[in-house]
Amino acid sequence: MTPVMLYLHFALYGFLCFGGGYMLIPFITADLVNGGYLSQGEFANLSSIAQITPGPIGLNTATYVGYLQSGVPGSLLASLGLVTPAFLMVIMALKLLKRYENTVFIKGFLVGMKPASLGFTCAALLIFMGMSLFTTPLPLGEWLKGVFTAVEIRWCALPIIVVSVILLKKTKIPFPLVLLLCAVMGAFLLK
Amino acid sequence: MDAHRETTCAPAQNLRLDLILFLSFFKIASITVGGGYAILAAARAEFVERRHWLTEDDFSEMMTVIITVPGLLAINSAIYLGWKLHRARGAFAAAFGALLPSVTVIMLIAAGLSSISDFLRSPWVQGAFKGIICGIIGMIGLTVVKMGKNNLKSLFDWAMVLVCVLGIAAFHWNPAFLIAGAIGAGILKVALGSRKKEVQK
Repeated sequence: MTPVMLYLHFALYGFLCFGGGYMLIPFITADLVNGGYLSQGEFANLSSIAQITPGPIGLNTATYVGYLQSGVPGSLLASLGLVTPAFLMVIMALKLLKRYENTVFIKGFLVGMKPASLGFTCAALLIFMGMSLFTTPLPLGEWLKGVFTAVEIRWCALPIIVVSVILLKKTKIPFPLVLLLCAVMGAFLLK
Repeated sequence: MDAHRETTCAPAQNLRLDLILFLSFFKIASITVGGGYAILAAARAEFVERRHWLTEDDFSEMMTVIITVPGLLAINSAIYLGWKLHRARGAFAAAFGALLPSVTVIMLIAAGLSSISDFLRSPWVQGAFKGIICGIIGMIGLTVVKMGKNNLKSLFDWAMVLVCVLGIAAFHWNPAFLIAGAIGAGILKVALGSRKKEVQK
């Protein structure tokens, strides 16, 4: 795929992916893997690398796919494509919010989305717990069906979480330092 | 949000504001592993707690907008904050800061520096990764507590939180439907509420 085509494809994904960068994966599978641009092996490699590299997962994905397709220009244009629609839409949303702030629609939007965004954040918390505190993702769906599969707890992760909460809440240590400390503790306790 | 931080500053202050936005998002994107919500918790630590540029209410409002708008949460929040503080220049500075670390690191990995990729797979680095995720759990946990104190006021709010948590974490529904449903329910609630008030008058 040429860099320009990459730009257009990723701009389309950026325009369509609701709910954050995680939702990019279905588009990549449907469009690029099934379209024959990306092999299954490359795709598996991609998702593991995108998740353990710092930064937005969607952006890591775009850069990686872009590079595989056509080198440095490809990775630059794929990631720029992904963020272009966001510029237009976030700025438009801010203008609409200000202009119509007293209408039922905007008031209702805030009334509905404030608790919903809290719910999404709680869900993210559970997903992150499945990546560290528990050895597998939490099988909430099965539990709700009444199938109580046990999950294994990684006990060594617990003190790291407790220490991070105490440091973040009770001290003025900046969060990057707290995260670095967590990384060091993790390297010894969770390897 | 401080009104005086908008476009009326002197040129030197303008440049300083862009630089802070760029560096803050560069820092957040370089250290935070795990994507959108991790980056949002870090942005809250930076802009609400450390710099006091946003109140808890501003943060909750930002969350509603950036989750509703399609795209990456991290980039959307960078554009949102940059635009609110310094219009187009701020938005570009913040988004560029959020973009730069991933693009550079991933390019190095993809360029076939297999030593990096082996390094990332070593047990020490995997352990460090899990350790950072533990720290992120702490940060998101604090964010959830603060947002909960601010936003859980009625049965409607609790029900909405529950539906969204289960919808995403247990049933793996498409977030687009949950977002549309939440906005629809909110509008209905406001519309019915104002009608009730009119009847009482």
